[in-house]
Amino acid sequence: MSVIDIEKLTKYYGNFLALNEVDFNVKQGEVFGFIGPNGAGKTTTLRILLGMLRKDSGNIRLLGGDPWHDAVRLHRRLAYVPGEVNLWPGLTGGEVIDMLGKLRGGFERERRDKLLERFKLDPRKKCGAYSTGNRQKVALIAALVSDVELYIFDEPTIGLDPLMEMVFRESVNELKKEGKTVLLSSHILSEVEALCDRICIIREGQIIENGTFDELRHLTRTNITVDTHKPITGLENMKWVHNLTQKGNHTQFSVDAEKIDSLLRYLTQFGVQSLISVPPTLEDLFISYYGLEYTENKETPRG
Amino acid sequence: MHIKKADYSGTMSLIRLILRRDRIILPVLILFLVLVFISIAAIFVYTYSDAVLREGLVLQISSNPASVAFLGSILDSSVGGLVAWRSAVIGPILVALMSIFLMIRHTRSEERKGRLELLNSAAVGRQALLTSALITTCGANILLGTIIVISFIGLGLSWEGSVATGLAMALFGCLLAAITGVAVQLTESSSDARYITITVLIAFFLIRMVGWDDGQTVWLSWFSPIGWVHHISAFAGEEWWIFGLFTIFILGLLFLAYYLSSQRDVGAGILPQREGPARASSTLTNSLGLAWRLQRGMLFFWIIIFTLMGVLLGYNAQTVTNLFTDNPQFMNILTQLGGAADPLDSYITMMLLLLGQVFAIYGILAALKLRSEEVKKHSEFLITNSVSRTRWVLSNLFFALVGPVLVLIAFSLSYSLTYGIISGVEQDIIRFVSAALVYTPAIWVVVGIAVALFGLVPRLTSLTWLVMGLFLIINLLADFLDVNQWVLDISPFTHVPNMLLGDTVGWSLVLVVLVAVFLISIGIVGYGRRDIT
Repeated sequence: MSVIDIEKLTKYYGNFLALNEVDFNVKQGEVFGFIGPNGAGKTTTLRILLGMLRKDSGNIRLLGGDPWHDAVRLHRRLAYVPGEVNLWPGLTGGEVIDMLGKLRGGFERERRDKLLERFKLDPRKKCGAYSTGNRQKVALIAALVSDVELYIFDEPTIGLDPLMEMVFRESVNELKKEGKTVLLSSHILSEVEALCDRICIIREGQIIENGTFDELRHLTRTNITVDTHKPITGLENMKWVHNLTQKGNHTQFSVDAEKIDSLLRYLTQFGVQSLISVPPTLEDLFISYYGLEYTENKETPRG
Repeated sequence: MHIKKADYSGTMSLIRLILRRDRIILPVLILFLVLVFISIAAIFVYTYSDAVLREGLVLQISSNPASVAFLGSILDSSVGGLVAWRSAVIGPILVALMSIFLMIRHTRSEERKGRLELLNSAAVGRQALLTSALITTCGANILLGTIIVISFIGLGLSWEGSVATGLAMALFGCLLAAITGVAVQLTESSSDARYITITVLIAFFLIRMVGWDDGQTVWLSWFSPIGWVHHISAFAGEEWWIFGLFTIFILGLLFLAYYLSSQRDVGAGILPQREGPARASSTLTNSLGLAWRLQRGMLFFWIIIFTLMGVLLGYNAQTVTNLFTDNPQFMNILTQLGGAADPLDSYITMMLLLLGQVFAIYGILAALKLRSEEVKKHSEFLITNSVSRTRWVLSNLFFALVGPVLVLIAFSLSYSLTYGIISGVEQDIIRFVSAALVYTPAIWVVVGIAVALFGLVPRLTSLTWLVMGLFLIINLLADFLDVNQWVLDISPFTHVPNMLLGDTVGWSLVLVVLVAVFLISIGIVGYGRRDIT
């Protein structure tokens, strides 16, 4: 059963095409990764999903309802953490957590206490005095404290230190065990890789890839390190071998995933001593899609 | 405090950034203020060129303690003297608001948005932000002062008086810029800084009002820079040494601001942040509870200030009545105007007309919370939760609509009670309170304008101030010019009956209510249908 169903979703900001026929669906009980560089359309999609923006065309279903018309009814069944967390400077973290939790229909006190301890948050401090990371924690706890069907996180770990990132992962894994659905928008690849069952990649308002990691990996290159009895020859002429470096009998390269079988047959004639095959990381996936453009963008701060 | 050059590096590029960011709003602000001054000057130059006419006006104003309290006494019956008198209160207040707005916009708001940390890391010295904000704000004031001088001389006023007026406005603006410069060092949030400076400004006004020139407490007005502007006596034998007083205070405050700025951490205030409750109270469980939490500070602030003002006016009312009745000239005018109205009632009616518009400012402030909550992305947490858009708007609007009513009641109640106690005459409290409450519909129209803009063209929500300024000017002009009735009718305040002078509640007031309801409704519908940005 689909929790989120998006078909041909299109959104313009004036003349700027922000989303161009976006398609994807999120099934019940899965952790779905929504990835792409900044400005690709992740937040726009989420904001349409939450009824904050109007779509221009396409179909969008959320928990069986229409995100625009049934907004209030649907929002009781989900919890959302925005990418940029700004809280009321005069309220304490504890007050924000309680208020948002109660608005969503109440929560268990133990769950709140457990989360506060886990994220090491002082609930007595005013939000205006929290650091960015601590404000993020307040928003995360306010969402996690509620027992709802769907959790939507927009770049949730920006500003969190690595330790807290692990705590967040732990919490998401627990939600998964409870059978909850999670939509996680991110550009932190290791995070998505560690948590998500399926992902889709968005770029310039278009979905360019959609599927499980295993499916996606087939589309890219596998990194091979091989030691042989005699030096390998002829690899440099193969179009499906890339980044070749050779030091005598020690050879490193990457190979298009669908050519692994041919490669292994070819290698055996040189007497294979050891072979290490490393599947591509999401980083590799990303670079293969975005190329230099991505590596450049990665350096610039969020704005 | 020692001065390091590195602390100021990047000031020029910050100034360029400010000028680029404000390339529209800054000229508009200055132009608006220039127009206010020129229109005041033009009124007197063109319609009061006749000395006999002026003498009549002077007599009329001087015998009305309410006018003297608000605007100060007229020091000279020349055209220039009248211009200086009329701009001596409204001028400093408007100039001050511009300075406060610009300073907070370019120091504290900047810092809170985290941009400062970014800027600081990019080789911008720690004093550069304060310096750039001060230079642009004071620059704007000096530019405004210069234009005032040129246009006053151009209108044929004496150059000494013109220079004194322009310089007074420029220096008053710079003084408020320096005060704001100190306030932004003290607090962590830009709204706290705004509270501090606005409170200071209101205090300046109230002190000058208590120390009005015909009273025995004239020495008090020396404690208020608005009083100084008056004492400069532009067009009436200028007291140039008072500019030295301004300069000394400006320099002292600047020194304090830089000292505090060098002492604190980026993003932190000098006044410590208090800890709060770890759990939400039972009122903080819905959007109305939250709105109460966010708006109550401002509500209490206004209620307290205007309760005090009611007490003050009630306390003075007896003296005022005596001044009235002792002045046959003024009694004559009154009889011509409103028949056999009680002089005290006329006095309070004038006060209410002014205060009704002041309370509308509170309505605007409360209504604009809608936009600021949206821009700060606070509202997202509610409307992606179980709160509907309409409910969220109504929760905040409740305070914009009910708040001014409470302030009206607090003021009229404290006034009539105090006056009753002082004079020993039994007061018809209901009569005073209802005379105040008939201002409610007009205030709601102003709130409605804010809501309609918020719902339909959110980026232009702050245009509400411009509309309110227009209403104020219409009222200002109406005192002196034969303005067409339809121009007067634009302002909802024209339609408020003067109940103390015998007016009754009529259809036009009902119409004003309907306009308010209409504006609020289209605002809510518009907000329900638009994108949240």
